[in-house]
Amino acid sequence: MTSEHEQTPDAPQAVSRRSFLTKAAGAAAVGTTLAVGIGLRELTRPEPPTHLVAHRTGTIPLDPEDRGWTRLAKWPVPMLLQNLATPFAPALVVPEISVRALHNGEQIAFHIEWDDAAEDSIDAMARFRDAVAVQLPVDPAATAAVTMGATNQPVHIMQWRAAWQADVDLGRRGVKDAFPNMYHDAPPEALMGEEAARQFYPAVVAGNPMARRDRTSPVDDLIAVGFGSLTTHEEQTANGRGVFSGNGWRVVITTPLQPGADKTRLSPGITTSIAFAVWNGGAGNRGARKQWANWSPLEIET
Amino acid sequence: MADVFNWQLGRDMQYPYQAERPARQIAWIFDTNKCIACQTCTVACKSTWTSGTGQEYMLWNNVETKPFGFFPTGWDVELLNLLGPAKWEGGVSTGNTVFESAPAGERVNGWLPTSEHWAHPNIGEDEPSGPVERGTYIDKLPHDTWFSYLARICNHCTYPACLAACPRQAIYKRPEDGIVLVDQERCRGYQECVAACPYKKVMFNNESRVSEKCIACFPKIEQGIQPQCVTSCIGRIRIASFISAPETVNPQSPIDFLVKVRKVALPLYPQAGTEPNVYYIPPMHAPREYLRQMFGPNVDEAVETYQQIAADDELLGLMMLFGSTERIMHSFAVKDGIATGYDEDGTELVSVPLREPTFIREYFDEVHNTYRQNIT
Repeated sequence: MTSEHEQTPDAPQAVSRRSFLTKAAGAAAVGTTLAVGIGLRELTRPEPPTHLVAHRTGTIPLDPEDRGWTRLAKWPVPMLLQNLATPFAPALVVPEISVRALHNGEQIAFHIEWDDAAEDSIDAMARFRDAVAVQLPVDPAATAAVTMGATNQPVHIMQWRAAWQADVDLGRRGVKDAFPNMYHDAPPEALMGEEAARQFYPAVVAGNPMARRDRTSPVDDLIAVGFGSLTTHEEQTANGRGVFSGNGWRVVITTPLQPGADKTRLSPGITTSIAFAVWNGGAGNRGARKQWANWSPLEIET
Repeated sequence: MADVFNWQLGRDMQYPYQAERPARQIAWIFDTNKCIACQTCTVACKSTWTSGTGQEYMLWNNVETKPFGFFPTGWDVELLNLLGPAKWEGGVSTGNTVFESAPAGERVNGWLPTSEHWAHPNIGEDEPSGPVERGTYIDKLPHDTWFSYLARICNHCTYPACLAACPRQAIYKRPEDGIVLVDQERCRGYQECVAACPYKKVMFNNESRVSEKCIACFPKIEQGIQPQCVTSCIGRIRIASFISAPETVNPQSPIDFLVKVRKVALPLYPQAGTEPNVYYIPPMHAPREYLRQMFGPNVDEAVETYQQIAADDELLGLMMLFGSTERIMHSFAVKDGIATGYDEDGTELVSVPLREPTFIREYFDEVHNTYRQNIT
């Protein structure tokens, strides 16, 4: 395996594949009998992987229901309450997510699923949307604070939101979707034309990604250097797709392995760190009120 | 948390950021005694700033009827429930502010209104405090049965709860004039500010998916002109100008004169601790107990001073200057029955007489053999 990071003693986040396998074996501390037992069990149910591996494949399916995804073993990630920075999440409403990963040498993709009794895809007053995010250190060989990075430790975050998925699938959602009976006699655009009416939509004019009307991806590329610093990247390269199944979400987030400046650049054979956050909009989750997971190793298959 | 001085509480209080007062602070006086709830201010604001899709129920300016009107529904009832009864000892607030009473894990003690709360902008309009029996007449102050109007905008607080609550510092207070703004580029629509504002004057745009609020008509203020809600007020109940820092009193400043010299204008629910910069002359016909709940312990003095206005040329003169000029009046003077307002350079903006000449006609019109409805 290629392992340039293995030779870098001051890069503890970039753990080599071999050291992982050693660790996994050590943790199991098993004798031959047990090893045989595991071998038998594999016939009926695959053992959960010990860490997240992005397996090499040909084509990465964007559809989260595709068998290219569901055939892979799930890697369970226990989630924690965000209670480091105010405001805190009041209750752990998503205790666990399951993750799978694939890459094809050009793109890497993460398949994340979690239980959720209700689909929350409307962004409106006192209504919040379901979401999930993947966090990678911008420098895959370096340590970054899990607190959405820190000064000189930037992180690359890719966030998928259910509201953005609805925008992509159905066209930009708005007040008519949140409140179907809303009456508006004469919006400015009907009176003065689109261009002049823009003055009534300052967030649109300011280029705020929340107000984007031409969204083609339900995933945003963001950069952060600590809590509260999240900033949308000027160059959007992430994509994805989320599907609500009736009792939970399955979401695919894809990004180029080499996505350009200031974003995480990955290559086959390395191991880096990955962290997650998940929001249940129906429980009032938004922003800092979220579930998060600490860094875990992410191995990218050669 | 930092210790900051809140002069309306008469004490230091806890706030998430260090005190940094602006070079000057925009402030308003609203005379509730003159408001007729015509909503001209509301319409002026709405047609100027919030006509867009997603802003249907967004009223940066509203006029509500007390005691049963509120927008959003119950905003003040909820605030009082959260904070408990106000406690004052010798002019000092001994209760906890929205910052000091914040539960663990929260920055501000707040609550988030639902769409239902925002759905009734003029609920309770003109509803009196109790039933009015046939034959009732009113011959004393305060009135036994009453209602009064409360015009409301963003208070552009010295210690904004919205700003304190935003986890990504997308709300800022302008150092040049103290206007509080939501950065329309940076807001990600978490609505923490909506939940935090004790006055519920930050609102969520359902179309843009970001929060928006009163901008104090800053393009006008930057040109020395008062905001739309002030210049459109046909009852001339409003004035907007600058208030001096707490340790300074400028008796020529219209705001300082009313707030710090005559002390007829009071902050709304000062116990919340945000040091709001809209000051109200309380309605003198409303029960004092209710007014103390709304405006704090100095209500009696304020109402009694206001009731002596006919014998107070300076106070009368300044009140006559309300609504007499579109420009921001930085100072005023009263001399020989004339009140004069001046701009920042000391140039005269307007002069008005303290008393308009009046002619009183007889009640009975002998020519037409009828009683007159209007005799002045």
